[in-house]
Amino acid sequence: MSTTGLGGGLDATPAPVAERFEPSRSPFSWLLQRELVRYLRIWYYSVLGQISTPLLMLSVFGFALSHRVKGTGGVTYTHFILPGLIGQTLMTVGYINGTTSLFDARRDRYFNDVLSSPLRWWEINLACVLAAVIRGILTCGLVAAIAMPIVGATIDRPLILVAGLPAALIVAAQLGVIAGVHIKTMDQNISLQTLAVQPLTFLGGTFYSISALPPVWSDLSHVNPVFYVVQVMRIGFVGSADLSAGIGLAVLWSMAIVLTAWSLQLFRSGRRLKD
Amino acid sequence: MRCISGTSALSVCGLRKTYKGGFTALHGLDLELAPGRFVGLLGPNGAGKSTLIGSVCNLVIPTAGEIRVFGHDHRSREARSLIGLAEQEVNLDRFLSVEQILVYHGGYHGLRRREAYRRARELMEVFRLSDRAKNNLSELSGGMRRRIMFARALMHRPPLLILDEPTAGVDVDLRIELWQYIRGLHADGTTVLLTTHYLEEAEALCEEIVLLRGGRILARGTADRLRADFSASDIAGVYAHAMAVVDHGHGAAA
Repeated sequence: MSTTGLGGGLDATPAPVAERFEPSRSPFSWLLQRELVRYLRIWYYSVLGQISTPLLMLSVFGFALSHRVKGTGGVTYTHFILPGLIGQTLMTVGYINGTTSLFDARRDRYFNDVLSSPLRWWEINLACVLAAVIRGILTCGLVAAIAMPIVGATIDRPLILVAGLPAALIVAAQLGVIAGVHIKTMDQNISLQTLAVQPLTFLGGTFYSISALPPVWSDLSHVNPVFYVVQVMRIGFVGSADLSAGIGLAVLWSMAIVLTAWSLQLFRSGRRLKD
Repeated sequence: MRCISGTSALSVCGLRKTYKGGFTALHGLDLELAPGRFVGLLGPNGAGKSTLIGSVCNLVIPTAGEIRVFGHDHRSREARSLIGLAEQEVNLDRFLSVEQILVYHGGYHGLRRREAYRRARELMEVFRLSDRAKNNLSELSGGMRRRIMFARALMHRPPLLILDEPTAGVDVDLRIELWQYIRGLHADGTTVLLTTHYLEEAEALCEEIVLLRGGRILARGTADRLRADFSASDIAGVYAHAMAVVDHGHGAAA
């Protein structure tokens, strides 16, 4: 150990130049941990804050209207809208996590600490996506745990949820990550949320069946990605929806694959992450 | 052109960077740093210093050229694990405490938890940050943030330390303190590449000085050699002469 010029017993000798980088612990696990710490440190906003909206909507729309409006598939209106509210929350949380984490890191330039480290490009992408997925599971799990006993909801087709939830979580997380890579200003971030994400979540069929819509609006619903998340969630909870389970799952997984490929390409090339 | 040496701490060969808008920041730059050397990079704003450093550290995508760090391609994990970088702008993770900033940086470079915390404690002791370990950035002064930047760059004991204007905007006391740290690291074998606008800093610290302007190297040598070459009494005179030669003689380089 050498301490030349540096006090406090610091080992100032540089590490030997190794032929191969051999980490004692995976840098990926550190980055994932950092991503989790980031939002768990502000859990009252990042997790609890995100469950208040769906629970309020459930109270206002569900309990206030359930005596006047019937759900489809033989369930109450509150039961009918609950899966959609969970899907809506999942999309919002996934998107917000990706944009906030990446956009902040890029804007304040501490993302350079990650880019200049031995982390591989796909590890950076995976850590961002996985953190958003875990946040989605935590938040939606809490919404379901609180709302299901109140509403008296059950899970009618659990296998559909098992097959569909991972795809929905990936779609939401990758959309957030892709937006986080592209967004340049806070104004853009807010605009995208208010002009695109919020309308899409509200028009995703949470509060209504698209069979009740005029044909044009019904057709337009099919190009809204949130629609498929809501439908698959509804099939899982209620047993049926406006789509067959097969089509819903096929579209969701296709979106998950395409968005993942796009996101990976952004990280591999680094063109929007580096100068 | 073949200019890459496998034994150099840093080899830059034919490095060119043209940004999207068409501005070329580096024009086929060549630079070699032998292991253990202390080299200062001097030049005005826009000379290409930060672009060069960004390219070496995987933050800028070069348009052309080759960069090797101790023989490894600069994009490889091996190369990135060998470089410590303290950037010009303070860029610290505002979601983390002082200790966490250091620990996570160590983690990104492959340290295990216990090792990372031990190293972070050592560095916080040296940089007088121990009593601020749990503080957030918003609770720290500019000087403290600058010390964290420096400590972070040293977390993984890099053999090549790149300091981009580490003393910009700091008071005289802290500047002298940082000089002492940098000298100590160099004495213990770390290769150092330092960019600075302070000419006396380059003269006091560096074994060699590289003068850069318009993305090209104008001159390189020890302070004595440069003084002799430019018939100047000090490095400020060298700098003034070199820049004047570019302005009047080789306008294209500016």
